[in-house]
Amino acid sequence: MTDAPRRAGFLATMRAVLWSFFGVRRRQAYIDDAGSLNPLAVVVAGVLAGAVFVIVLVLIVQWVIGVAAA
Amino acid sequence: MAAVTPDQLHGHHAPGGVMRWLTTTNHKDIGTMYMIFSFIMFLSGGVLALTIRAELFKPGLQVVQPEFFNQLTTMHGLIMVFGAIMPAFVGFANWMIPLMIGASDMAFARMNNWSFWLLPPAAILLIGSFFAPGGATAAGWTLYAPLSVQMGMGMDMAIFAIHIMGVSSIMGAINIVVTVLNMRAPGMTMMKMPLFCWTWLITAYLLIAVMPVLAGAVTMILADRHFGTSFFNAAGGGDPVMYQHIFWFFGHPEVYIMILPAFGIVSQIIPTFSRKPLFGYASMVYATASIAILSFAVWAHHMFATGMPAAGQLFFMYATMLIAVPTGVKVFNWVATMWRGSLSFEPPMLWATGFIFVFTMGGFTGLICAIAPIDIQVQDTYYVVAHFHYVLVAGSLFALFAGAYYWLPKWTGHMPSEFLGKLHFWCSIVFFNITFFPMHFLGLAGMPRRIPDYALQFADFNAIASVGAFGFGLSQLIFIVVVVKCIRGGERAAARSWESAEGLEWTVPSPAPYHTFEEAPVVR
Repeated sequence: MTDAPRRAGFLATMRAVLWSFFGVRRRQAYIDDAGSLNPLAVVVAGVLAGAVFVIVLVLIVQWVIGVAAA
Repeated sequence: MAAVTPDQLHGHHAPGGVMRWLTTTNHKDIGTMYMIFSFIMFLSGGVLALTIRAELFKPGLQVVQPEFFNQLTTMHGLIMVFGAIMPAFVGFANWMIPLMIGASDMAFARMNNWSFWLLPPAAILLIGSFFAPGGATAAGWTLYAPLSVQMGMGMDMAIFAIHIMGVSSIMGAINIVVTVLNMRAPGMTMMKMPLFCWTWLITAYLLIAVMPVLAGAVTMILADRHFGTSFFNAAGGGDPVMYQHIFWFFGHPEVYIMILPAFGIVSQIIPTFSRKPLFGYASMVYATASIAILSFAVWAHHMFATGMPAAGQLFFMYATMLIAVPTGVKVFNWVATMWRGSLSFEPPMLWATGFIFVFTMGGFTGLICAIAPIDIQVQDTYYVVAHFHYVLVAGSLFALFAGAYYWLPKWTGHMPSEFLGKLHFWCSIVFFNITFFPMHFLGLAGMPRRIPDYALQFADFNAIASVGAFGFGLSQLIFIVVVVKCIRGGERAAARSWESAEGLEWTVPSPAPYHTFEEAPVVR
């Protein structure tokens, strides 16, 4: 792990949120997260990632239905 | 640690007798009341369940009329969900979260009193509805429209009871969020918090998010019933299926509201009796967050049979199956914690390991139900009944018992009887499986739920399930004996009642003094 900044940037916040979607995180990375993440940014990133998650699922479903229809 | 010792107790001027309990703002008093209340409701819901099982012991109608049977299944569900499981976890939160984070009390002590004392009137409304003209609501605990739009005033009483219990839950949740975020002792960073506090923090957010949705749903039913609206009435341009969407948008996160605190309790107990730190603490926190996030995107898997487009079915099927990933992370973490640990199986550990075993089975049947084509087959059959009892009884309830045996020394100052605790566990897990395992077969063979009579081919498994249910119900009386014995005396509990228990709650004497951490401890 590189040194965590005092305030995590957009990418670091997104990375933490995406790991939370998977449900696994290295302890050191988690400690860095807890020290540097801005809770408000986490909420925004969470909503954003949630929307992306739903869109990706919808695309997969559309693709499956397309394949089944063909 | 700056704990208050028992001889300092008498400095405060609190009312005695009944007024102590009515006016208390002490988190331990309120926690105790929550737990007593929830156990009374558990026994009440249990009596309804045993009446259901008595009727189902053999085919034909022997014990109750069909109309009353429907009231029994409905009220059993409502009482167990809103009266037993949810308040029990809030009771644990009240008692243990301040002790775990080194706070002197909950953040909003008076609101805490109010959120408890709302519950008894709600319970009286709910149970009293049996005596209303037309009896209690018989629409199923999900209160689906159009059934719920048609019933007598018992339905209105249930709606108001749900409103009141919802308000209570929201206030309790706000209290927990503020307590956890603002009242941690110096040095108790979020990442040092016991996992029980983490799971409850996330659960509290879920509660705040979805209880208003339930309130909205039942209020719309109330409006349809009395104020001439047609939210769910197709004849007036409404849509009964919309009720199911709204209800399950609450209902699925509700499932996690009832299981995440259980995960927290088990995550406290497994490390203690494995004599190892919890494996993958960070991933446990992330998995809890993950489950909570995913829980908002899966609600329509309860509604596959309503006839949704294939795209909708696939979406909810895929999203639901993804929940197996973070849940699997948790189960593997618990097993990895036990791996090569120095294990001992006192009652709390027995219940916790029993939880892992039986809850995982319930998780797997959940995965099976998530597959849309299979769900179309097993929808509304006893397979679903078996599934949700495996996660709610063997999940939530077993974890509650695990937690009760674990913290009874802290609450009462005496160790619970090991023999009775083990007897309680073994009777419960054996009878639980005798009761609910045959229901998988009944469901696969097509026996519908919520029906008082059934075809002859289902008779044997139903008889077995009924015998198991009475065994399970009676086994719970052992717990009363354990608790009463524990309160009256027994082996004195040390401050650290279990050999390798970790956490601030074990630094205060047992029983925990009335006031603890008036001066915040410093966590290194």
